[in-house]
Amino acid sequence: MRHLSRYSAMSKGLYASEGRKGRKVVVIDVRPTPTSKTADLFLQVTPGQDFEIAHVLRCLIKNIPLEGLTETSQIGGVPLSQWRELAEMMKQCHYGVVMFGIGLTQSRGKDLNVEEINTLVSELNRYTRFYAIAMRGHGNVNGSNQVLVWQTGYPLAVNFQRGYPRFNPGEFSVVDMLTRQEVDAALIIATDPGAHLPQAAVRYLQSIPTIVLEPHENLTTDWANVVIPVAPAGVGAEGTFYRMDNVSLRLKKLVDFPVSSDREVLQSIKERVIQLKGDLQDKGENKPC
Amino acid sequence: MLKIVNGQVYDPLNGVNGEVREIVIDHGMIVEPSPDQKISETINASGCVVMPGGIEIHSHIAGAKVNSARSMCPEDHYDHFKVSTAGIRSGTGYTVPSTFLTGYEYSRLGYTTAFEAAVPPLEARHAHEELEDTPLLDSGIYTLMGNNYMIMKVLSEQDEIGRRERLRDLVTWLLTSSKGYAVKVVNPGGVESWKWSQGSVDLDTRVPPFGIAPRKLLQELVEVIRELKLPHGLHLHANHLGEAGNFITTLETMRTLEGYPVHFTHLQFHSYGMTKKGGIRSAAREIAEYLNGHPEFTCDIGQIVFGPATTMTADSPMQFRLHQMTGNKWINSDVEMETGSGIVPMMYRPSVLFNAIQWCIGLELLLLIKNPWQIVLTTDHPNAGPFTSYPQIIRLLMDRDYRNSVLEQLHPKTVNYTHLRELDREYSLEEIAIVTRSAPARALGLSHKGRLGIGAEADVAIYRIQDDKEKMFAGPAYVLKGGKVVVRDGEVLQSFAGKRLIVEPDGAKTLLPDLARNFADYYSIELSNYAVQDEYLSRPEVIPCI
Amino acid sequence: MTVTVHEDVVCAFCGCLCDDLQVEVEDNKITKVSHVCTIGRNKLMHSQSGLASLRVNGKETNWEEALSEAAGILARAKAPLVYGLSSTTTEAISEAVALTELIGGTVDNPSSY
Repeated sequence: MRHLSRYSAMSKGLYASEGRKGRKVVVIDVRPTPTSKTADLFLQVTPGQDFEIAHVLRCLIKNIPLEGLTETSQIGGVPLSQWRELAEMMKQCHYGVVMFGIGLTQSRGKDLNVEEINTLVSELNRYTRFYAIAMRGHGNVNGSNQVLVWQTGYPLAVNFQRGYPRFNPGEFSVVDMLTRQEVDAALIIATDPGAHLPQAAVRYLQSIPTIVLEPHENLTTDWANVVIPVAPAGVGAEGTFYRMDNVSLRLKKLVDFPVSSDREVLQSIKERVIQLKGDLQDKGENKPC
Repeated sequence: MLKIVNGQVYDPLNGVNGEVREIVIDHGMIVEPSPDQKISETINASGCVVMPGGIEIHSHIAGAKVNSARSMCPEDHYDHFKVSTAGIRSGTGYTVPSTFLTGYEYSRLGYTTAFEAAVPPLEARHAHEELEDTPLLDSGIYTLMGNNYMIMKVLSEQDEIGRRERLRDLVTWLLTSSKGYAVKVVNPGGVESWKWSQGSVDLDTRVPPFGIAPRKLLQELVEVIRELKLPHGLHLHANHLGEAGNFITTLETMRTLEGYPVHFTHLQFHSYGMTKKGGIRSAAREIAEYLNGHPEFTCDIGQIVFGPATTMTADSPMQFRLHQMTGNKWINSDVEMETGSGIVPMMYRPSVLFNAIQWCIGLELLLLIKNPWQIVLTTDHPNAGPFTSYPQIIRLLMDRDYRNSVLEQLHPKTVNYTHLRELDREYSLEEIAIVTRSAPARALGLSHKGRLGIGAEADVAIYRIQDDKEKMFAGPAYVLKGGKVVVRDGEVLQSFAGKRLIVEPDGAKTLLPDLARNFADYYSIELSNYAVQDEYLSRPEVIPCI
Repeated sequence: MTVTVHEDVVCAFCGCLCDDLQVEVEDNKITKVSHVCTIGRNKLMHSQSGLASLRVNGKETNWEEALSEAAGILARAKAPLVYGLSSTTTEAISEAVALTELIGGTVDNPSSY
């Protein structure tokens, strides 16, 4: 919420001492938003055209002729002339940043849209300095990517069934595994899948033994088999979070909670699992597959 | 107590050169042997050489850019993995291994200490967090200062005495806030210049926004480093890395810093002459000749290894150039007021003339610099190749016939631009021990490492003597970390955290008040949240500034 | 009653991690939050209410039973999923990864969909 005031559009920088006045802000979205109202240029686009838009911008920036298009041709519901204006603005600026949100990954093209935006930004560096930052939602979703990468090599969808990390989004990603009914138990930590995941995934999750570590009651604690309350990070527990631009910060503990942190709970569960695994192996159960 | 018997000991710092000696270890230290000691474990090192644990002076193993590279290159990991076993973690990755695997792989080569070579203070917390997860290695980080806004601002001040004092305080504060070990400079001024969309810089180019020339930045930093008595001198990645004709800048930089303690890193990338057509030729002779007359300087090589590599450095303009030259994928990052960085995966091929010449230049430096105490074997991991290739490089140094047989397979024109074929020198085991252990220990000011005398840390590597030196150094029979056997016949036996090596120089522990105002205005985080908290170093050890 | 004022507090709510918040605590209760957006303030002001209770299959229980039940489920599972980790510390995430490795499971976070 303070993105615009503290970090981006309005913040006063060393070389942008006027703050908002010295900057150009362009918003591209499918509908007007409070952010778009503050923009110098708002381009309202039709949904599902993200890849095409990024691609046209790349062509305009590299002066590649767009055959069959005129200045009034619509790309994503906006005439080419406006995209040309934007391309010039990007090329001419001293220092630009594209901040893209999760919407880009939810429309047709998905990861390809992100790749096209990143390529656009790469290519802009032939003319000026340009950067891209993915707008991350939850406080430390970046931190979970970071830890997974340094410990396993991969940022998400990591499977350990063969004793080493394997990575395959689409195969080992949460929605796919749940909707294909490929898991037989779940441990949920500091996220509310009951509120966020597609219905089919939630329905299957409800049918298997589910453990939740969570400070507050939410849509998952409602039906989970085991609910373990934990002290919330940055309020009742200290530790590290990674900001959306990869800068890490140490969160403080502000007040005492009557419960442990999720780190401590996970440690206790791990110790018990080690014990149980030993017992089960002694009895010849739970052979590795 | 543990005893190693019958081994041929190589301990160059104590003048021991292959003589059979007993080594007794107690509480992680090497102690005087005496008849009444209770020995609980004896290692029979008959037919083996016994060396101090290897010391990595320059490697990219932890922190923001390394992790971005891991994330960017899943194709690096699929075929290279380790299955978890009791107490030992799993991992993946070849040129950019995951943290646990990095620790194990170094350990499996007999290395027991490693330094992460380039960390922006703003992202130091991240580097330390990863090092906590990099087992079996004592480690530390070098703090980037060569394109730092506050450094350049202080350097632009007129009052010479005041400026020196303020620079000393600022360097101290940056080192202690980042819990760093040494001052690192990467392409001084060049990264900042690129951020302004301006061209590459020479020693006397005035760099925006303050018009500071790289020469001045280097001169004043080495003076401060000497005053602060830091255990390691300026760790310098000079201007114009990888460019034809850059040896002129390298030599000029060396002349500028004569008499000061400076470590020139990945010197192979900075020893290029220029052909008439603008290509590269070896200038290893010119560089080696200069270093042979200047024992105050040390260097590491950054030896090319044929195969995949992942280039990553704070030198963002260089990475951008590499991206444009190769068309390979690229990440670039701008670290606010401090520096930049870039990543480009690469493949070095013997059939590519440029790569073949690079390969020769590294080996030429290793063979032409006469005093092994001035050289450290590195691949600038993973820029010129992965550190797991060290045994192969050792064989190239110890076995002239093997070296020449590889040379035969390179691009046929390689010999026109290099001298390697004319070089007959072969390294001895003692020289190998120097360039992989004792020289880096000395260059880093680590008095308890890189040696096996009484009072030294019991980091020990035991290798079976074999004709094939690559095999010999690739699979130590035993590796001891802090007196504990951690590797036996290539297998990691246990996993625990090493120490974090830091310095506490005698300068200001807080940021100068006027700079603190700049910080409040222009950094994206609060000053009180900046310094790396003690929680990120579970086993810190302060190396004295003396 | 003494009031403790915490300066430069990091807000854990969104990926911006604004780290200049001021939080007042009185008698172990957060009473005031400044330099913060509306969502961040609400999150902090309400962080001590609506707490989840410890339970197994809907029944309130003790720690020992809850932890044993959780460990039992995970140790017996053939293909367990560890999911979430978007609002907790890297220190907890590390433990979650170690646990997933131990049980041969799959670990994922909300950035996969």
